[in-house]
Order: sequence, then structure tokens, then C-alpha cells
Amino acid sequence: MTVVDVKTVRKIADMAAVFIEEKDLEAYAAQLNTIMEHMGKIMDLDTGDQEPMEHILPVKNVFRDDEVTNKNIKDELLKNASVKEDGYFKVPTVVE
Amino acid sequence: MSICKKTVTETAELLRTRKISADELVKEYFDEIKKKNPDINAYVTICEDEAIKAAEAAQKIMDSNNDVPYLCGIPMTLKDNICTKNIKTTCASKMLEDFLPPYSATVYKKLLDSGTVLLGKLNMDEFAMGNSSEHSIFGAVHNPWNTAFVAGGSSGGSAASVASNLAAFALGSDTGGGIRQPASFCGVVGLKPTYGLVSRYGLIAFASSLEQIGIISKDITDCGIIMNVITGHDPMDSTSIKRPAEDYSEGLGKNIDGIKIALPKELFGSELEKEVGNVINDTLKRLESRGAVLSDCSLPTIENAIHAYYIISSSEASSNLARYDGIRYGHRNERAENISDLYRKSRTEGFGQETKRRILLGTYALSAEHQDELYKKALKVRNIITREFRNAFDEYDIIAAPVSPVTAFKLQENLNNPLKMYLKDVYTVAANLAGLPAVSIPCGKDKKGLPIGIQLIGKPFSEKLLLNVGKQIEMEAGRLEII
Repeated sequence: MTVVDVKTVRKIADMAAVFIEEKDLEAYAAQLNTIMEHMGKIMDLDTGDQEPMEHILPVKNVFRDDEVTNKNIKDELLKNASVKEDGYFKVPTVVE
Repeated sequence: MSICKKTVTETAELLRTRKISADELVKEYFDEIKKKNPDINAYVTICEDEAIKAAEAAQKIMDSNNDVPYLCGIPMTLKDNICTKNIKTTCASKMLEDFLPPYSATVYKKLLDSGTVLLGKLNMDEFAMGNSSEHSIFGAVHNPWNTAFVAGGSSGGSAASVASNLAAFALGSDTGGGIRQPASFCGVVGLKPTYGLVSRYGLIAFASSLEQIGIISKDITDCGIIMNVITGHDPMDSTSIKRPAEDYSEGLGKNIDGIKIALPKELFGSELEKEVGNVINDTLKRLESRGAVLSDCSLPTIENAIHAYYIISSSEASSNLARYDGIRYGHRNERAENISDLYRKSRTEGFGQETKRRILLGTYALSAEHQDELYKKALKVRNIITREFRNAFDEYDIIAAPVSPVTAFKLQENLNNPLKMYLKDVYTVAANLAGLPAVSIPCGKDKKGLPIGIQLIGKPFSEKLLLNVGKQIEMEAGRLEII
């Protein structure tokens, strides 16, 4: 059973915002298909009315008092951006 | 004997008794790093100037103060997915090749507060995705026991650095075996603590619900001493647990009479190499002769742990790695014409092949058509596996198993067969799904002379017991040292 084909890879690559070159699509599809066929065996397991467990701990929101605990580190944060201007991150035009 | 071969405990004693100064000590380590690292490729960044300054500062503290932290002046190193302020943290990825974190991970701060000296940052599989430390822009880590073999992964640099005496200890991260398996392949101790016991603040995320920062050390006692420093509640990590502090180094080696150790038959299956199985069984017999009570048991759903693990970890990875857009930090394509093109081109160039494969797997599992099927099914299986462990721990104190079905494999051997590579994680992933502590302890070697490790898994927060039983194994098997 083929679950992942070239068409699927093209689609999920688009959703994940990565390009897979045409020449590599077949190879990616074959590998992902082999992997998913194997991992898909999980579907054969009877899980009854078991609840899905997203997290091992009972995860709750953690709140703290609304106090300023850090200082302005704008310049430090901008240091890692490769393109910036006048203290801002710079991106290509978004709205014409 | 080279001073770099010594454990943390032995080195701390030399520093305390003024047999060596902290700055002389780090210089010894850098000599060793310069000699061996070209063959091992454990370090990707070396912080020589900073380390010498830090060591001089540590020495001043030791000279002028009576209340000196135990680890003061001890040279250590960190996997390159643990953020170090203003020191490159690359995740072995082109994406973060030039990333200078504006803040430090909590574990790093704690280690600095205790006076340790950072020697450098360590090679790994890109974004911690892998078990051979071959998926790295810096090239593969080589196993110090035989450089034709892999060091394991994803904390391959951490294990290789400690095994080849290029640091007194190292921290790594374990998402599905990332500390235990390389520790096993390199003949050192590797501990993955209970989920929530060590802060993940500043650990670059791969699969947040599974991963923990942990320790790679030369022996069990060192592991306990370092646990004392890195554990504790951290308000900066919402999954960090509040509980009273323990002394993990106290009482190691005490009597294990009547400790009940279970051996799940599913973790001694047909994929287990005979030689590895024999060494593990022999080690278990020796524990029995020291008073432990061995029993066979069954964790029927654990055979599906590997499936659940790859579905959950890839799903979390696809979500966590969505943050890399090329804008605020990370690799940016310079020729993109519009914003969507910028995201795509930057991510395509920045991520390596294995990282892309995991992102695609996760995107597939989480896509609208499959989410109910695959991801939720995996989460249900996670619940069942966790319950099976809980039931087993009602009866037994510890679960013992191999760490890996094989010893270190040859470099390149599995690179073109990702599924074959993934399946080697079969014994380690369940502890991550259930958030349990697990330790890998060296217990012998195969005919090729490559190390074998045994794994002990415990109930949540039973690290002290794991280390105590681990100490018994160490007393029987001795430390594995490269001659």
C-alpha cells in the first residue's frame, strides 16, 4: 500500500514551507512511504476507549505577577538578524 | 596517567589540595583537545580564551574563600543545542550556524554558578534528530574506541568528548535515547532524568514533550554530583517540577538486597545482537549475586513505542521548527522576492536532509486527513505504555534492558536507510514517552572491542535508586577506559 507518493510529498512540503527539488521527490516519497508504512502499524493496535496523552505531566498554564523582569534587549535581539534597518527586522514587501 | 582521564571527584580533590591549579588544568584539557579532536570531531566550538579566564577566576575563588562550590574549576562542555549567551549555539545546522543566543540556558547558568569552566560546544545530529551524530554540518562524530564507527547520537559529541577525556563531564539532551545510546556506544555513563526535573529553558526545542537535558559522565558518582547542581524548579520552564532537593551523590554503592528488577521480554527480542544480550545477561546475574531479585515481565504495548515515538516526535518537530523563518535569526536566503519565497528558500537551504524528512513526516501526521488517525492514535498508545509502566512499577523497583540492540555501527552504514536507523531506538524511546528516568551504564565490550551499555529505567524521581544500582554494576564491570 502506497501512503506517501510524489503528489503527497509536494503537498506536505508546501505546507511545511520547504522546497523539494523535482529530481528528489521520488526518493523522498519512497523513503517517507517506507517509514510511514512501518510506523502506520500502530493503527492495527486496539486502543479501546483510551484517552490521547499529549503530555506526561498534568500541564497547566503557569502565571506570574505582571512585573517587568527584564530590560530592553532590542539591540541584542537584532544582532542575530541578517537583514535589519533602523532598529527593525526587515522583510520583503508584504502589502503592496 | 593524564590528568584529563580523572573523574570529577578525583579532579576536584586535586584542585582542593592544590596539586594543580584550575588554569593549569584547563590548559591540559586544551592540549588534549588539540591532539584528539581532529580525529573525533566532538567539539564544534572551542572557547579557549574564555575558559582560561574563567579558570583563573575559579582559582581566585578557591584561593580566597573557604566556602568553595564542589565543582569549582572543573572543565565541562555542552551539547550545541544548549544556549550559551554570546557563544555560538548552532544545533549543528546551517540554519543556526551563526546564532549567538541573547540568553543562557538555566543548566548552563547553574553550572557557571557552581564554578565549572566551559571548554566548548559539542557536535550532534542536526536539531538532535538522529542516533549516529552523522547528520551535522560539521561532519560526523567518530567513536573514540574506533574512529571507523559512529559515536551514537544525537549527543554523540557529548559522549565522545567524555570517553576520550576531552572534558570532565558533558551535558546532552535525550528525546528518544539521545544521551543513553551514545553513552552506551562510547562506554560512559548517560542519565536521562525524569521529565520536568531539569529545566529545559534554553534547550533548543525538537520534541518538547519528550526531551530532557541530562548528563554524560565518566562514572556514576560524578553523575550524582552533577545532578545535584542541574536539577531544581525553574520558573522559566512551565514544565519544570517543584519538589524538595535530593542529594543524588549520597549513599551510592549501598546494599541492594531485595531490590526487584524486572526484565520485559519485549526488550530482549529477536533484534538484540547475541553478543550484546550475553553481556547484559551476565551483568544482570552479577546484580543477582549482589542481592537483587530478577523477574521476567511483560510490557505488551512497548513494541509499539517506536511507532508512537516517531509519529509524536516528528509532529512536535514540524511544529517547533516552524519558527525558523529566516527573519529574526537563523539562515536567510538573500535573493527571495517575497515573504513566502523568503520562508521557503531560507528553510530549504537552512535545514539538512534528515531535518527536512522529520518535518515532512510530522507535517504528514498532523495534516487534516491524518491527524485523527495517526497523531491521536500515537497519543493513545503513549497513554497505554505509560500505564503499563506504572503497573509494572507497582510490583518492581527497576526495569532493566539493553540500551541498543547493537554496538556502534560503521560510519555511513545506515545513512541511506532512515527506517533501519530509526528502528535502532527500539529500547530507549519508551522512557521518553512515559517521562521516566533512565540511565545507561557501561558493562562490557563486544569482540570488536566496542562498548556495551545496560539500561535501567525507574519510576518518576527514582534517580537515586537508579544510580545506586548503577554503582553496583560499575563496581562489578569497572570503568571502561580507552588505553
